[in-house]
Amino acid sequence: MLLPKKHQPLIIACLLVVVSLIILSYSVKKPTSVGFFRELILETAAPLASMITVSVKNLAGVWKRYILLVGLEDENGRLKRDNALLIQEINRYREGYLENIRLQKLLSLKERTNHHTVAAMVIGRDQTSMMKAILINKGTVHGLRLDLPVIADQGVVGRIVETSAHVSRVLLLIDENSNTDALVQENRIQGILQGAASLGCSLKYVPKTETVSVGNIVVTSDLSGLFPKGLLLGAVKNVEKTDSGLFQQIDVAPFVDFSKLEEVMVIVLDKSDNMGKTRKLN
Amino acid sequence: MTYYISLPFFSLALIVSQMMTEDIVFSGKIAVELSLIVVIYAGFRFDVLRGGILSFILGFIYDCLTCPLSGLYTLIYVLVFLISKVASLRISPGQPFLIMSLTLVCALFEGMTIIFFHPVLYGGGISTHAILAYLPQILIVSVLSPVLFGAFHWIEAVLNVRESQPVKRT
Repeated sequence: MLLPKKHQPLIIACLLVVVSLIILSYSVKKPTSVGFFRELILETAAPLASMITVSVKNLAGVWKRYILLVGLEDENGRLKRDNALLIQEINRYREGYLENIRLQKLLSLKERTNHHTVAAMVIGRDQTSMMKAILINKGTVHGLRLDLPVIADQGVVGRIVETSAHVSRVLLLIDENSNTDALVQENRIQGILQGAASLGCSLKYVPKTETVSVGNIVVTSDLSGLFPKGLLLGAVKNVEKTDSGLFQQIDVAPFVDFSKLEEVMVIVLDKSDNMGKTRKLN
Repeated sequence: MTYYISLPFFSLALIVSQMMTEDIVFSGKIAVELSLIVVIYAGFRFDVLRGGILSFILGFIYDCLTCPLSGLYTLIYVLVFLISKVASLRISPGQPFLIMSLTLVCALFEGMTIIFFHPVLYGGGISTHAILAYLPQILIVSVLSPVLFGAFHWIEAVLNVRESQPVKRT
């Protein structure tokens, strides 16, 4: 520095004050003049300020989201509980709706039948390899007895083989011990519909001379007096005429889907029509 | 030399950060003038040339960014630095109460200067409400000053250590 060392601080201080006063007086004199340095600083500060603002806003956003997350867990738990309750409620309504549809079908079936009928609910299934049967929640108290026919809206389900006061067992058409008098609707050929378990049923004792086609409808005949005439049993799905034997091999697919049965109708025939005996369930 | 080159950038960063903090944290209701404390601190730690230029640049940038007039804060900061420099002959930075008092005096001086120049700046006298709003700011700055003095001292020490570290031979 060219300034004397002793007075250097004083001179620098005075210089700075004087320069400040000059800038100030110039600025007061020409307030509209922006000035190069002022403009330069403003231009430089703007991106810096913008960067800080964006960073702080992002941080504030993260913080707000964190605060939101704190309450979110409780809310999530509450919503899950509400959701579970609502699902249960919807399920109840759906079940009610489907039950209503099924009962409407049964009701229409009841209206079509001339006989007295008792509606029953399927309460158990006994579809092991040995026996194909279902349990229904009606028994002798409701007027049911042995060998009464049981039907659903699609067709014949089977017949009662055991009954107690409030429960009955129904032997399904597909049980191998089930034999039902049947006839082919189109050409009135008589036969015995025998259960064949998972294969459905087969129509026995139809002579080779008779013509039975795939798709023919098989209905009940009233020869044995167990079933009223004309109830739907199934449709012919396969016909084979072997070289040996007198009869045809006719496979019948039952109309009823036994695995989905929920409500059935028991036709209460007069005792003169049905001579079965009542056996007590264990 | 590094000091003088980095000074404008440091000053700009400080003033912008200060303004942003006032705006974001206090919603522009309270202005905590850290730059004023920096100037007072410079009075204690730097010689007239270094401290004076620091105050001048800080004040000028503050003028450019906040004041309609250039030179007002430049003058105030230079004068505050000189007041602080004179006070440093009697006061030690390790005396918090005296530092707080000095900061209070400097802040009051700043406020009075602004009130004096207010008619020139805005074409009318300052309202009582504005003066009352200014008082808590002065108190906050005064209370914070000893803490910030400690912080500045620590930063200065860190920077000095880095500068004085020799280059290792490999």
